[in-house]
Amino acid sequence: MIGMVVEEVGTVIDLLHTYLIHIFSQYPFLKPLLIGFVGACVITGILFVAGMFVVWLERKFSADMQTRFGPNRVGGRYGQLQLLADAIKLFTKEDLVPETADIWLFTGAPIIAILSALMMAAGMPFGYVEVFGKQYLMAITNMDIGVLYVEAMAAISVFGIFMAGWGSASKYAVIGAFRSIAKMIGYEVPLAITVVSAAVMVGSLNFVDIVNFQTSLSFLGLEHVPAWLLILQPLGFFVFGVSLLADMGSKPFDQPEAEEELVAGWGVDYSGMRWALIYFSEYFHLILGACLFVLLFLGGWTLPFDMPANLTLPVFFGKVLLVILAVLVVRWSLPRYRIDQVQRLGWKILLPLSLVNLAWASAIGVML
Amino acid sequence: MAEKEEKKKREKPPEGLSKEELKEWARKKAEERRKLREAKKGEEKETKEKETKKEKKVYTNPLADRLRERFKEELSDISVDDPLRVSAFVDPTKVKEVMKILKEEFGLDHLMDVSGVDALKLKGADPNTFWVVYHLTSHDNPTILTLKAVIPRDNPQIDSIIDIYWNANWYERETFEFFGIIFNGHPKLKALFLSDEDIGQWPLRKDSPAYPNPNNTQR
Amino acid sequence: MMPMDEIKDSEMIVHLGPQHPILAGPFMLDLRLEGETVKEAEFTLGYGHKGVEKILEDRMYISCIPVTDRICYLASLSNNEVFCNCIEKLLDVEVPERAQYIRVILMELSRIQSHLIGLGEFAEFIGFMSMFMFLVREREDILTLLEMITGARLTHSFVRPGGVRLDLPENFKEKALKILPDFEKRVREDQETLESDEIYIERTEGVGVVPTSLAKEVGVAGPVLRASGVNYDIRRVEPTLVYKDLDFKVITATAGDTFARAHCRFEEIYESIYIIQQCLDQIPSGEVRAKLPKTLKPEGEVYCRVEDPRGEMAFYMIADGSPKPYRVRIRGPAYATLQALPPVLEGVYVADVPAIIGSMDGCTSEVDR
Repeated sequence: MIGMVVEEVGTVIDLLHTYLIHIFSQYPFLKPLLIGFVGACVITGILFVAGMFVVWLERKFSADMQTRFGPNRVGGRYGQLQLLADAIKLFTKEDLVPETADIWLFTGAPIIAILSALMMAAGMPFGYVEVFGKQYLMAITNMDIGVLYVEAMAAISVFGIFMAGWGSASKYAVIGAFRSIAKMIGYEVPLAITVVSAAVMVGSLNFVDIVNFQTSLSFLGLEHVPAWLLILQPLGFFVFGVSLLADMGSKPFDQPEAEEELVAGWGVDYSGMRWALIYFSEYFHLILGACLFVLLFLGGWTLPFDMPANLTLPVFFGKVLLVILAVLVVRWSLPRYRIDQVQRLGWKILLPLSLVNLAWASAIGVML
Repeated sequence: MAEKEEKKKREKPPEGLSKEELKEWARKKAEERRKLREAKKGEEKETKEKETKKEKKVYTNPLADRLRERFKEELSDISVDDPLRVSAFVDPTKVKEVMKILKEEFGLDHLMDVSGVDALKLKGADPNTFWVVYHLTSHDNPTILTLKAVIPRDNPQIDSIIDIYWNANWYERETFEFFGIIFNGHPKLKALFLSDEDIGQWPLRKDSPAYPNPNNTQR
Repeated sequence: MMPMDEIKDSEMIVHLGPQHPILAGPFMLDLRLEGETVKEAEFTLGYGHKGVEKILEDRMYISCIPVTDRICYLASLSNNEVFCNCIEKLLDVEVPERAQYIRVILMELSRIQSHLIGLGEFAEFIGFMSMFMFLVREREDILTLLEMITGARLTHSFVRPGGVRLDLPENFKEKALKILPDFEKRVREDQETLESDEIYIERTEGVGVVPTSLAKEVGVAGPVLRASGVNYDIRRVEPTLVYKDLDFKVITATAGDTFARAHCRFEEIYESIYIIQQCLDQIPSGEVRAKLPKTLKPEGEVYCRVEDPRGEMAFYMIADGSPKPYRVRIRGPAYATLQALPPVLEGVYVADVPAIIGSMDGCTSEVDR
């Protein structure tokens, strides 16, 4: 019975496939449009759900670290639906725009913030799915300059922050925005250099190539040892990790929104839906940053032995979850740096280290 | 209350007595009780007398002696209330000089407090005056010197000591806003706690109505 | 603060408060900033002014005690203590020794819980949220003990002229001796967690330095003064109760920065635990309250001080023989310390402002009494 149903579905999909191929052969411009549309919907949906999950995870996790309970009412004893309730509340709140705010910048900022996160997701592959013998790469696009594209899109988010800070016409927000820009300049440089050094070692800017390179050290005759860049470039791993934390605005580096000094920094005047968008975009950045980290340094969806294609997605997201948990541990167990100390760390420590790493990576890359 | 307890304690008359005998027994007992009560009262009186007779102890403090020597005109009524407390009245026109000498020569480097007292209803004080009370001490010596400057109620002005003791700032501002005492030479004599509209009510003066009801004595 | 038109284009005025996440009690701190650097700071107070001094003038002495609780809810027992101390001195009453020991225990317990809250808030102000939670968790033990004795967690109203309201509960000694060592161990753990943190050290060392001379000059109080190297503790300088029979160190540090202040508070917690343990060993049995007339009518003038968690708390009381005090002047330590904040804040980064305020452990409720 079940087999029959599967067969039926299979034939339907086959039919659809042939039909689509037919249409695309007639109207070739439709293909990227359709893939883009479907992909965008799927990715956005997944990201929102994942974002809510991560928010819930963080609340429970931090509560556990601090011997509190965390959400424990809505939707069961673990407060599973708390975030849904919060989201509904936020999305139905009154939409407030301060009188002195620059309305274009103020309303544009959340859009830019969330757009930057979604655009990041568009360039990232997440693994393979095998359906009826066909393997599909789970990515909206697989660009040859994927790494640079994702980097660039991640950096755009700072415009959203600056627009929010400047547009709110609040002093806290302006200070937060300035801090954000200063921090971004300080950390985007080592981040970019480490990404470049990863690409130099592999010899490609394509995520799939980078991931495949990390499968195992077979070129050295070690079949079952992972060739993760974590092992090949420990220095790069460190620099990238710290810079990424700073880029995500995670705890020791959350000066732009430092609650104790600037109330909520650049987001102080936002409420309701706009605030929810900004809030979610931060968590998207957390998730996608973790994805980037896994892709570049933890071998993506591969493990150092053969495995079926359908296992790639769980492996990938398992690794992402581990990275997120690591970020959460850091976030809830460290105090905050001061902005000048952050700058010092970025320019005086991370930048030289990233340059050293670049030299190391090019040397190894040439040898390989 | 005490009588009730006595009633409870009362012995029962021995059984088998006639009415007259009972009456006599009761009379005897009542007399005994009366005597007891009187004796108790007498004791209480004696103890009370003893208490009132307790003489005020006389303490000495080296600071007081030095003050008496150094300030013959500026300070008056230098008294030692406790081994560690010296109090004196200071001439309000010479507060600044006195403070300067106290800080530099006597080592009283810690101004603990500047406060005001409205003497309107205070027994034994001129009702038409305010007191400005300074508490000075030192970080090395536990003796506290209480200086009181008596200033007239209709023209409450005194020199600010902010040049000598930096931390007189808030204390003087507070005294100003609650009593209306003006500290001449204070660089920024404005309200500290109250809003600017409330200046002029001088809430801690005794003629300002207290919250909730000043006439309620049984609270 | 300068008038608005004198402020340069590169400067701006930022208001910290009256509503701000770091302020448990409301006050406003106007900061004139140039970039991230504070050029000038100025306070505006009085958002929660209670007029305690005036209220006290209109109460019978015994009904004043609950009001003194509300001066600072974290140090309510020492406020009770100093108020009752004034009355006792005026009436010349000897407090029974057992009551004195109980009062010392109460004051030290309240010092511990106040320091824990102060340290927790301080940690939170530099972004260390988890440490706040840890320290508040440890504080729960101390509150349990306080609740056992007084029946209340914050505003105790337990001290009475001539003694305390009730004797210690039966199993208090065993319970306290069981809880305290464990508590001390956990606080030491927390202290190590905090003080071994690189970021914490970087954020606190050399920040908000109050040199010894400045500390004396501006009259800061309590741990802030002692962290600047001044050995000044009312428990030692002018011991009330049975403090002269007890053995304890006065914790001092020399650096005078925020790190030293927090460190002093931690060390004082251990010292307080030691004092309580001594008290529990030495406490004699007997009465806990001296016999006093129902209506107290003291007469005279007195100035009493005790060591509050935040420094020297002093009451100046004038009594005229009526059942109500004629004038009570409250001199709080947080007031003196907070007054010294603007000169310390000049020239620091704006991110250090909460750290410095937290390390001063100002209680707005007491300032706005």
